[in-house]
Parts: sequence; C-alpha cells; structure tokens
Amino acid sequence: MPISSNDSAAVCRRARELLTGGDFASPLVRTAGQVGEAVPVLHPDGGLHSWFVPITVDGRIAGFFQLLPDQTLLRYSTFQRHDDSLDGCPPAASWLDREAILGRIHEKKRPDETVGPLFLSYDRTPDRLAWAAVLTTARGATRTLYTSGRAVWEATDRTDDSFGGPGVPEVNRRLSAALFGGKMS
Amino acid sequence: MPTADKRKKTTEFKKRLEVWASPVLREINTNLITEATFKLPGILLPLVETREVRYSARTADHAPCYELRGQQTGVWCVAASTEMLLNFYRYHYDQPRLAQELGLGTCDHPNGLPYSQVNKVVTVIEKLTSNTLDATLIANPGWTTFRDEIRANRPLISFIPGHSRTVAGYTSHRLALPGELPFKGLLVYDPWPPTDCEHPEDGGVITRWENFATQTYQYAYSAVLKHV
Repeated sequence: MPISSNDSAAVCRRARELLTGGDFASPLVRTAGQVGEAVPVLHPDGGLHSWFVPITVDGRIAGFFQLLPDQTLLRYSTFQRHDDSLDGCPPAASWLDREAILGRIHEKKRPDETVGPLFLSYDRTPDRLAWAAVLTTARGATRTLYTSGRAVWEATDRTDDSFGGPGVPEVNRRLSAALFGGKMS
Repeated sequence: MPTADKRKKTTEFKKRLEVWASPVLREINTNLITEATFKLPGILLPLVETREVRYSARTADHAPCYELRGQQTGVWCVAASTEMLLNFYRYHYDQPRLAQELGLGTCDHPNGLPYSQVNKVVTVIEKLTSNTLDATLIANPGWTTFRDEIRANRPLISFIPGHSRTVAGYTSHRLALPGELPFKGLLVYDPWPPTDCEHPEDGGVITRWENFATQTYQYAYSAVLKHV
C-alpha cells in the first residue's frame, strides 16, 4: 500500500486529539508535549503495519502513539518513570535522528557490506519496535540489523519458537514442531 | 472487617440508598439511558472504570505502586517480567539471576524462553518465594482474567506471541460511539526497548493504555500470596 503525506498528516491529527482529549499521557506531557512527524512502521517484508507518532518535550521523547493505518489506537507508551518528571526519557535524537541511528548500524557493519535505507520496523512482534536496515555484501548476501535503545542485533530466521528471541535453535525447533506444528500465534 | 471500615461502608451504603429512593431516580428506565438521565440531580454515573495495583487493597490510603524494569538483553523479556512481578512483592532478585533460574543464559550469551517451557515461570516464581506466592499459568486469558486480578490488587505477567510484559492496571469505558465497542485498555509495563546488564535502570516503556481489542493474549501468569 503506498504511503502518502496525507495519511501521515491525518495520523498526526488523530494523535493530537488523543493526546489532548484522552486519558493517555501525563499532565506534563499533555500540556507541554509536541506531536512529531508520524513514522510508518513497516513489516519486515516492507508492508505498512502501523504508524509511530512521537511525543517530545524539551528535546526528549516522552512517549509515542502507535496507530493502525485506519487510525485505530494500538497503544500510547511512555518512557516517563514518574508523571511529573522527564528523567529516564531518552534524547529524541536517539529515536528520531536517522543519521544518529544509522551511525549505530554502521558500527556493526562488516567491511564488505553496504547499508540499505533505514526503516522503522519490529522484531518478532509489533510491540518490539526497532529501526532496521538491510546490509548487502558484494556477493549479494544480505542480513538485517535492528537497533532499539542501546542494542544493535542481527535478525534471525523467524521460527517464532520462543518468548523474547531464539533459544537453543535446533532443540527449540524440534520441540515446537512436535508440540505446535512449528509455530504458535 | 475492622469496625471503622464497617462503619464507613455502612454510612456510604445508606447514602446511596437515600439517593436512589428519591421519586425522580426511581422512575429511571434503565433500558434506555438518555442524555437527560445524566442531568438528574444526585446522580453520578461513572463512565470509566480505572484501576491500578497499589501498595495495598485499601485504595483510599495508598498510591499506585509498581515499577518498570527494562530487559537487560534483547531476549530477556521473560526475566524482566518476572523481576517486575517479584519486585511488587518485595523480592529483589537481579535479572541475570532470574535469567539463570529460567534457563535464559547469561548477559553475554542470552537466549529466549522456548514455548515448550512456559511452565518454568510458575516453577521459578514459587521456588524463589519459597512457595509464598502461588503462581498459575492461564492460557488464552480474557478481559475478565486481567480485570479480576487487578481488582484483587495483583499484577500479572502477560505473554503475547514472541514477547512478555506485565499488566498492572486497566481502564474500561462504559459508553462508545454508535457502531463501536466501548474502549478497554490495559496498563502494561513493557520491558522493551532493551537495555544492557551495565545499565539495569534503563529500558522499557509504560503503556497507558494498550487497546485490548487489538492484541493477542497467549498466556497470563497470576501470583497469589498465600496466607496462614
């Protein structure tokens, strides 16, 4: 589905309504929060899953709305540990500055790899938001790197056989195949 | 029930009876609530029910009481969730120790919890609390599972496909626009995004609210404090 700037603007309007009119953000964020540009959250295969709308206060990201393409609210999440404080909220750049995020990916790049465009996606489940980029070698081999928070990690084959990430891969695969036909959802 | 509580509840009950005994309110047609109903004197219909876990069940006395823990590796959401639940009951095991108990490896070589080992969470919670907590695994939990546990002032661990978090509150709207369902949301303490073992104080988000209608709830774990 092509993504238009109209979609993005409509999502931002909806987020603004929810921020000021709903019982989601703390009073501090409700009054001082700035609704940032909506960022599409893409499935690992490239399709649009949802929209990420950041809410910033004084250069920090205080929280974000995640909305489906039809503007259905998935969630409002905050980095605030306390309603009246921004302590613990990361600098907005760490989530929104593509150059800074690409810098983290480049640190894990191998010498023969080129880094593709950065996109917001998720690892395993849409609750685990992460920026992603596909790295390609001269021979055409690819791998995807994710980054979220402090971490940068490589995508694994999506066997979906554990909570949190791969366990002992071969053992898990055999066990989950025996128990659940290889996949649970 | 303590005498003071009993007296307070009796007084409040009598007040409610007096309000509802008025001729105007007795004639309300409860099958059709109109705008005029909300304008009647003496009536206060709560349109939203919201609850969070607190220090004790005496909500008049204590503020919400629950803390977020970020997962210290990209795959330790189960360890972080278990840590949050145990912290609520004042058991302070660090995340690497919990990961070790759950079989999730080390900070340098971590792994996730295989689907085949979901019962391990029950075993670990009971072991690390010397069976003071009675943990139960609930498959396909519905809204009432979460609501009833929160009403009993007990947080839950919530597994969704591929991820684990904890739930410490809910909100439930009683009215909705025509054609829509009333909004139901959970207060989720989510250990994602991850931090690392050198920065255990970072990571995670508090989701207020997660739209219950848009999520797949695979398992929940309740933990009930045993009394003598």
